[in-house]
Amino acid sequence: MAISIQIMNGGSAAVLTLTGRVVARDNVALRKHIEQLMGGDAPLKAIDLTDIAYIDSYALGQIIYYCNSARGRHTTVYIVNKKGNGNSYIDKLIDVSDLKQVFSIVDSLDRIAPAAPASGA
Amino acid sequence: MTVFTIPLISDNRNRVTAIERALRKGLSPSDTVQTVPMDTYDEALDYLNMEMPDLACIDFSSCGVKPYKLLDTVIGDPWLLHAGIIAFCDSRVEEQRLDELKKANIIDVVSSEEIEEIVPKIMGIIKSNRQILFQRVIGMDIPSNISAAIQLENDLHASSCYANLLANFLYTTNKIDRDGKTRFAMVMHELLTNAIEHGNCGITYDEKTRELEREGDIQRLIRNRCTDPVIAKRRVLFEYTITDESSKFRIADQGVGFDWRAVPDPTSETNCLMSHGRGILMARAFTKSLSFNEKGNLVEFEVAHTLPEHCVMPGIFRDIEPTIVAAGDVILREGDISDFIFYIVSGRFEILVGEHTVSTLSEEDIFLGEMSFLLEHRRTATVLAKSAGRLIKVSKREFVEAIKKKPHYALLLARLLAQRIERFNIAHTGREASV
Repeated sequence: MAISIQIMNGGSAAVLTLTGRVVARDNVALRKHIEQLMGGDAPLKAIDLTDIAYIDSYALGQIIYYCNSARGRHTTVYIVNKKGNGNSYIDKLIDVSDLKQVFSIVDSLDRIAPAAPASGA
Repeated sequence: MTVFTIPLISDNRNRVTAIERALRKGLSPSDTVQTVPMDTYDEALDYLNMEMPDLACIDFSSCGVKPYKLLDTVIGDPWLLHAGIIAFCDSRVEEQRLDELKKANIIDVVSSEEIEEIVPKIMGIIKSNRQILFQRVIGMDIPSNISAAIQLENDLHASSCYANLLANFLYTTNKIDRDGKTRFAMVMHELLTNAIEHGNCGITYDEKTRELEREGDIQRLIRNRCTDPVIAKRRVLFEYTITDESSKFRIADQGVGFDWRAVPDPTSETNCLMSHGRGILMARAFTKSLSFNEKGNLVEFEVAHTLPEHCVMPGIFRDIEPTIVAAGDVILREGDISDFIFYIVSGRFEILVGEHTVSTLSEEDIFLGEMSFLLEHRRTATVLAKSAGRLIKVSKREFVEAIKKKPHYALLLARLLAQRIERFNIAHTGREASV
């Protein structure tokens, strides 16, 4: 698993990107980064699953658990799946696990964090 | 006795020695491992192209062999490495990078300190499953139904190795597509892990979480459990049957079982925030007819084959549009001029000389009409489609151009012809002969 957090649009959005195989033994890194994401100031928070090769049920459960434990009542966490075509592995995973109950699913970061207009100096 | 010829691609001499030793350790004394060490990129690429080995050991920490460039070549043409790659690396960072390469047929990633422990296990697994791993080489000699019954020790590496090997096999034999491969590997991983961790070793979800939160690893927890001789003796009984239409799997552990009916539905409104309980749900969704026995220590499931004809095909033919044929179509007629060959994407084809059926060919035979194509005479047999199918028609010019770009395909054709002659010899003399 590779994991990184990107702050976008002058701090208005934070995106945690996961790639590769996300499995139980990644638990510590996963937790640390989710806590960092959720504890940050960015009002929009997202987890990008587009490029995961595979996620096991333990790791998926941990994402749900840590996000839910850390978020405030009014925080929406988005799951980003840029390659969603209704039939991909991630699509099926979202569907099967009914992640829509827990997260808002979007196919593009632009939908949640439109690029800030260029400042007119 | 089995002879394994395995290219060992690394510029680290000490690692080469350690891998060779570990490969031998995993086999019985009557087996032979012939390793072919290579320490440059050009040498390795040449070997992969010319020999098309089923299996290779690649050291991804050896910069000199440009391992990622080699891997790109393999991903671009999966025919080069049919069974897969045992990947070696120095560190967790390297391992993570390999994890990201979802298209590669990697059987297992082994770090330097794990070589002695893990490689013999992988070789043991490969040996006991060689009937499926080396299918391309022996082609039609393999029966269409393949089955095996295996006892697995309580070892997560072994379960992951099985999941990857079988996923690679189903994918490279066109039984599942790339997404299907990911889903299948996930299901196998979930169910075999459940059988070892929860079934045989009785590890609870909370115990697993505590271990992981200490940055520990589950294998250590399993080893601790296995200091109890009763637990250590338990095995996972794993069976599979692969037919043309589907693959069936049966995984049984020797634990006390569990009440699968009582597992809460993690998709219900009240349970959707639960941190666990999704494994069975995911496995059920990605397979056909998953069921548990009454006691809850045996699970069976089926994977329907989707036959995605396009997913694995020799790289040189990918740009040519296949021709669709229907059952009863005459593909080639005895006496016709032959200036093309067919690559069989799918379907079954009857070979008739006069009115006599002399053979039936299918995807596993790869080519149709190669004899008269090569010998430049008229077709010596009529070919009739026995089922609907797809064929790629390759003209002599296209074939020659392709071979100029990728010369190893000439060798592949030569091998196929040699195999057919050998089969013919065995069928007519009952003996194997090789001169």
